[in-house]
Amino acid sequence: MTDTSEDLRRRVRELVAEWDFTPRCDSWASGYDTDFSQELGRRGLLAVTWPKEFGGAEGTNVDRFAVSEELLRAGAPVAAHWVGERQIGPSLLRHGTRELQEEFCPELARAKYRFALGMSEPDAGSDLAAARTRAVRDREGWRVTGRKIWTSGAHRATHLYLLARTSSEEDKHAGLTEFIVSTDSPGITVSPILDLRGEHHFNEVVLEDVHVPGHWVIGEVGAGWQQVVGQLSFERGGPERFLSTYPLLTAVIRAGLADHTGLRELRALAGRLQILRRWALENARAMDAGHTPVTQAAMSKYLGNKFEMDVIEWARPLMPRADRNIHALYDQAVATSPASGIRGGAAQVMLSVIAKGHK
Amino acid sequence: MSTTEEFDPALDEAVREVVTHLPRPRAGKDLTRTDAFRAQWNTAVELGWTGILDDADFTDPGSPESRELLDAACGAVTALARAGFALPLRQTLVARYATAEALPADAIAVHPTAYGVWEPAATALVAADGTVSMPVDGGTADEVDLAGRPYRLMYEMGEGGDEAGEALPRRVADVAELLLLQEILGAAEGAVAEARRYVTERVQFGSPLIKIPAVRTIAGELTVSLRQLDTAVHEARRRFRAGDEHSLHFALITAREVASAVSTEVTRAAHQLHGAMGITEEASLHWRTKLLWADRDEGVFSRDRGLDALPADEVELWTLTTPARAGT
Ligand SMILES: Cc1cc2nc3c(=O)[nH]c(=O)nc-3n(C[C@H](O)[C@H](O)[C@H](O)COP(=O)(O)OP(=O)(O)OC[C@H]3O[C@@H](n4cnc5c(N)ncnc54)[C@H](O)[C@@H]3O)c2cc1C
Repeated sequence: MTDTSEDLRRRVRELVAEWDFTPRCDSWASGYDTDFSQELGRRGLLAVTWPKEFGGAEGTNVDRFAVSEELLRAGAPVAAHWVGERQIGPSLLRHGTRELQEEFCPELARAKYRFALGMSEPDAGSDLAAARTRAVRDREGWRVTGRKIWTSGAHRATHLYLLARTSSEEDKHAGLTEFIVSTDSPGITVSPILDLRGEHHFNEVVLEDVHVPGHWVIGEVGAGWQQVVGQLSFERGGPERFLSTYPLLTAVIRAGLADHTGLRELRALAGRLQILRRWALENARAMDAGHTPVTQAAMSKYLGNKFEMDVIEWARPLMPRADRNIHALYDQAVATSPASGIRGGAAQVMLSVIAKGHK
Repeated sequence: MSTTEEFDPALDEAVREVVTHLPRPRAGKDLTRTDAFRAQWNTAVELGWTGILDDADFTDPGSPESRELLDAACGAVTALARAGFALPLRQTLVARYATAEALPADAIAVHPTAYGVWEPAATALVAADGTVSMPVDGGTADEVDLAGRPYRLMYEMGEGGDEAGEALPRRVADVAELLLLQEILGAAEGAVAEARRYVTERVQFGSPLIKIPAVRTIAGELTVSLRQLDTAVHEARRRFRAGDEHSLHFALITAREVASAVSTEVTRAAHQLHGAMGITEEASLHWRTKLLWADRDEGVFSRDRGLDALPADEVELWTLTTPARAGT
């Protein structure tokens, strides 16, 4: 790791030590604290890979990985900026017009704008290319009608990233386009969907003839599929795919709860954690080298998901001696566990990507 | 399969080239009593593989010379295992490294780090202190492990596993463990390659098996397993070069744990994919599987092995699981 990323790590640790928060599992998806995200932005800890003119630090993906790891390690509340900073900014920088970059990137780098991902639909889950939400051109831009589901954080987001169909082609992968939509546009209804803990993180988003400015198209009209695939490496290959239960793991270690069997099992868990951290680092390096590590990112996600499940199983029999705080972490981990193998691409689909990538 | 750190591809090619012409022994026998074994061993000796670590010193494990020798030893052991050959190369390399005395080029040398494997066939025994003795035929009943390698039962040797390991020079024990991991990695790579070849070529229901989603799922899992092992082994190798004993110990212990799990996963899944044909001695999977099983179980005396290497707090866990820096 470079000195820059070491310095970034130190700066994250400093902020985390100062900030008043309770560490939680799954903090990148469920720990929402806009002030914290904005403080990260103020301290130059967001968007570190982006050009300086757009609020970045022109660092590497390895630098960004260092920041992400330290934040997740602490179980810090990072959900407010996570998606926007992880994949929307990079996507705009890759495909967006200069106008779009100027309009959105600096605000994303300060966590002033917060995005939710409008990809999945009731009939388009694993088969995302089956999306039916439709965008039609009119004189002032576009009108969008359709239904998105599982849209995490849409109720708190300022904007939606939206994948919509702009023409009907025989090949369902053609004719898709990426848009930005303001969440306070007339015609948008966001309804909560409660999760296994009864918490409200994701939503159903109905769009009825919603106006989208003409220049809020990301990249080329009709090239949405090719572009969105590039986002998936960012979405799947990062440390959030194995560190969601890290606060539980370390709370149990810190409290010395592991019995003899627990220690034996910890040997294997620690070995896999080491592997996963290496993979995530390599994913970041691959991105720095200009690659899109689709297969490798799918491997990270698949194994990361298994690791997170195994941490829970490891901790389970040790819980009777745990205090209230550790119980809270355990409950969070258990209740979010089914989501881990589904969000961002289901486990079986990851395996299929991996098998195809290694002919 | 791309590895995170390719070892010398020319060496791999050379080994592959050589072993394709070597005879295979029959299944289920003590390998050392077959003509095929003698032919294989003579080839390994002639090609100079057994002497790779003769002049190694590893007091500065990060030096270019140390690196070159270790890479060559790892390369030869891995390539041989990848091709599914069980030879006493790894054990001999370690024994020759552990002693300052000169041994005949064709010696089958065994050191306590071998946990008794090949010992009944040894022509030189290197003790923990590096002294060499010639074996006397004590008439002990020899056992043959799953890979067809003769071995001496540990309880007959009166040694207590890890406690015996404690008395060994640390570097020798580390090299032995590293080479064992490399052998497991090679055998696992070979097994996965065979399974993958089978499902790509074998046609059922009108198309290659790999087109069936359930088959593809198992193939994907195999890839993930193998890649885990590859990463764990290379991490240990990097840490060996970096020279920090504590972090190396952690990497070796956890890599062995990963290797055990992956060996089990790979043998199960590869055989499942390879159908009945994989079981037969004609299938090259057969040989890799047996080596994997035998290596997996080698020297595992206690479920508590290496618990002392575990971190006591979060900071230590984080530090020990941090990837070794590039360049090491
Ligand atoms: C907590 C959470 C947050 C989410 N947040 C968002 C968000 O913010 N924005 C967004 O757009 N989406 C979001 N999603 C949706 C997520 O991307 C989808 O759930 C996911 O892509 C799977 O789609 P599905 O749920 O419709 O499952 P389905 O496609 O119905 O699949 C069900 C199961 O079938 C199996 N399966 C499906 N296809 C295959 C195949 N080809 N081969 C083998 N097995 C297969 C898999 O095991 C899968 O789990 C979120 C999901 C969760 C759980």
